[in-house]
Amino acid sequence: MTTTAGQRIDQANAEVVRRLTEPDVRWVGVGRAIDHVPGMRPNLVLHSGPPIEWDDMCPLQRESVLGAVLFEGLATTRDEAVTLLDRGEIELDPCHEHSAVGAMTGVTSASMGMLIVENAEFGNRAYCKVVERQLQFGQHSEEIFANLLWLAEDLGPALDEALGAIGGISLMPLIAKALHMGDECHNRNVAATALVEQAIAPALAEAAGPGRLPRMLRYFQDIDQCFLGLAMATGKALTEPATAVDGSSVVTTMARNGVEFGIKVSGLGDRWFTGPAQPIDGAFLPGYDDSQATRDIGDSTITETVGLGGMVAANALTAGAIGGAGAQQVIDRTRDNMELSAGRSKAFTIPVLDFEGGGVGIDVRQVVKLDMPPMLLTGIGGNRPPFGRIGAGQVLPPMDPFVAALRALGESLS
Amino acid sequence: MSEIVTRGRILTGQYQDSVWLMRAGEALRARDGIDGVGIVMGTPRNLELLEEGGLLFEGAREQATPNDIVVAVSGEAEAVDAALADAPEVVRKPAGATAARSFASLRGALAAADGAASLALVSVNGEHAASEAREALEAGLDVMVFSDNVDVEDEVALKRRAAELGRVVMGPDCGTAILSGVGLGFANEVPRGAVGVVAASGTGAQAVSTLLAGRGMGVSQLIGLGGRDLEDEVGGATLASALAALDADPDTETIALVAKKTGQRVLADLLARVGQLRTPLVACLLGQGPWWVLELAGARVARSLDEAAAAASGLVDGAKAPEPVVDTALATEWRERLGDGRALHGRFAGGTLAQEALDVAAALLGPVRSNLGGEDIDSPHTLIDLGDDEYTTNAPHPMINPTQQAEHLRAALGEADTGAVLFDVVIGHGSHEDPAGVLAPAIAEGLAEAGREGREALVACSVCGTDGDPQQRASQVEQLAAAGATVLRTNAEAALLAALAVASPPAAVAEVPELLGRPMGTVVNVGSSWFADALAAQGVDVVHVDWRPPAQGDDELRELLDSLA
Repeated sequence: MTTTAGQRIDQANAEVVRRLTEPDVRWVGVGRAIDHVPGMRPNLVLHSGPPIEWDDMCPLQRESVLGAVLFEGLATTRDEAVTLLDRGEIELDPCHEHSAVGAMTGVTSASMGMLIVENAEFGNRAYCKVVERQLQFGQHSEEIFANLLWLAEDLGPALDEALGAIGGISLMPLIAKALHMGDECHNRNVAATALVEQAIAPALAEAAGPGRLPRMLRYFQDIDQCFLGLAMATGKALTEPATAVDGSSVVTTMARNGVEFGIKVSGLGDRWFTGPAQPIDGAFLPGYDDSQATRDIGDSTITETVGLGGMVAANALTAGAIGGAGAQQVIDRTRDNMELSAGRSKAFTIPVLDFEGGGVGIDVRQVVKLDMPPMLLTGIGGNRPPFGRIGAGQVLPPMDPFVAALRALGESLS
Repeated sequence: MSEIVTRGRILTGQYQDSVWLMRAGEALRARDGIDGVGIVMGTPRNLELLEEGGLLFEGAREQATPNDIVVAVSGEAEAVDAALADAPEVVRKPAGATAARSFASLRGALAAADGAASLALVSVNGEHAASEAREALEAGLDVMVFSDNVDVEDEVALKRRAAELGRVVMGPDCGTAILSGVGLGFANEVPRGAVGVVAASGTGAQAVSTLLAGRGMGVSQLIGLGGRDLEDEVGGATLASALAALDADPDTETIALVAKKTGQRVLADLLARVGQLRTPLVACLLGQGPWWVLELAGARVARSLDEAAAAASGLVDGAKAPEPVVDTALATEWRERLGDGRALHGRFAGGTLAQEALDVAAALLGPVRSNLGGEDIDSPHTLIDLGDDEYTTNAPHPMINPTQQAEHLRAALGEADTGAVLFDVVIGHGSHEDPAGVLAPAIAEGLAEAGREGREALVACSVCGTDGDPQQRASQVEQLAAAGATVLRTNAEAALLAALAVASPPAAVAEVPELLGRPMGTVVNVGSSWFADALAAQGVDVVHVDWRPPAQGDDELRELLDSLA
């Protein structure tokens, strides 16, 4: 039987789910963080996950931050960088506080190239660093910095011009299509990457010119996961207007920084609820094991927050196999995640489940009631030099933030 | 207006039996200005009962001995004094003195009977009853001991001696028997027939015999056992003889046994005997008890007196009509009229009828406050056996004079929460000449008073008797119905109607659910997969929920979730 509070929550949730599923999101541009990201400053470095002090950061994220400081030229040596950071002269903020998201360590600084997307219904924009798979895994070097620069100053502007020429690219239909091609758009984005490359290639060719085009196309080839950046930015663009719907128990943010796992719940606005980041249960590249693994890290769980990734895992059975799971397990996991959801997607459907819509809008009430946080798939970063990506696997978030959020919601409604 | 007083006198060295004295008391109480009368032998117990009834006049305890008749009267002073003045006459010659030949002693009476005596009917004070009964036994008579308050050791010895002599002792505390068509004690006019009744219960025997008559059946013999015969201490001594006698009796085709309680050994013994009887047996054992086991030996166990009569009739004749069916529609109608929170009050003359009614009422209403073993029960419903000692020491037994019963009924109707009043009327030889004549006016007045206060109440009753009885059953029924009572054919039906009228209402009639009308679709199994497997093995489409306790069994979280659900 529904209580009055329950009815209020259900109604609020329905609105949140609508905001997460109905608006289209368009890829409208690429530009430097300092030029586009709200509140960006030269000495500000953004990171993934909930707020955390420099001293508390895990080694992987610290390494990425150091790299960013060096990239920006705020320090010339590692020691200098460390000193600046120890003295608090470099500001650190979660990407999330600046309408941005970042993969793995998520480290984003002023000069980096950002994917820019726009919510077609609400008009808000969201940003994600162009996926580069190096600094985000704690690796930095002159070569890597040169690549970052190329992304920001060559590829970026070319893509931006191409997008301008074609009026942007509608992402929701593209994602829906990719989901029927073996992607789930968190750990598996190859189809989406191919589709977006397909969509932009002619205009990019025009903008880049025959000299620069090959290297740009190779970017898509080398980083076939690069659509993740657009998927994440899409998630951020959808969730921002869905925040602060009074009385809603739907999760609007899930993010980790290797030390803590944090969530936000719509009805509780901008408050973070955190718990310890969990070790990842996964498969490792040769020579690595979990003693060298960083715990759960990255803003990429913004995808699950809007019904992608684990919420449609059954569309990417091979990605699920990474975690050592069989096909039926992946399907079961997908069904479990549906049980946590306040609503269903109309656009993102799951063929193997008879085209049922994927779950959207994780309800903290359900998470606590079933004692079942959403199962996630994620990459694993090393926790010591040379850092880097050392494997991939599955992880269950801690229950603490969900329980704390439920209690806070209960209080706010009584 | 004259002052209200309680006075008395002692008639020394005189003796009369308690029934005799009750009638004398009745004669005095009927006078104007008299409130209460107690005429008893001066035994300590009787004096106690006088005291409880507020009639123990000054000096009584000091002066009275068990060999004296104590006359206590309360009322207006003038009337009291007049009554006391007349007491010796009244006690010596109450209305309706015996027409029989009279002797000073049993020996004298036996001598005068000159060998023709076959049965002694003893109703003297309990203290003396055993020795009188013993003398009669030794003289070759069977004995019916009406008296109660006989020591159990005396009863055991008496019955042992009787068995040795091939004689039967019916009693003590045996109020009813019919032998060779002759009614002994309180008995009804019933046709002779094929059912032999054996009873450790007076009104139980009366009820079964009259219900048999109502079904066109008759009674071959009715043997009383006495109230204590079936307890283990007495061991069913008379029962054994009675069953043997009825089994051998060529006129008895079926035996009906009526009792209210049995000892464990007696029950086992009875079960064994049942197996050996040639004659089929119907046992009606009221109150709570494991008597169903008798069915395993071939007896029919009846749960009501009428069921016993029906079963016995069926065994004799195959024909059993009418079937006992209660009009539940009438009960439902009353229940609606009375509404919630109404109480049932039963006031009974017959002990067995009270027990049967209590069984029915308690089944539907839960424990009922009653002097049949439930004095401490906290219940709005009450049921009183007015024939119990407590009520019959300074008042006549209700079967002899229903005045007290009438007062109780009127009082019950006067209470605001009364929903149903339940009672019995027992007619026949020995009973009051017109019980309905006393009860009906009280009912009519009680109902009128309730009506003036805007209240309704159901008055339910039954009449135990036949049209052949002096009071005529039909006439009794008519008077009661005219006064506003609902007269049911049997005591159990009256109890059922009254209990249902105040019981919790039945749930609203359900619409026919689809359950059986739709084919078995998918079964959702929640919990143990064991069941899901069993369903799957039957080819049923089953979906399994791998259940876990909400919030991992954390109560606080679960409450929070419930409040936000």
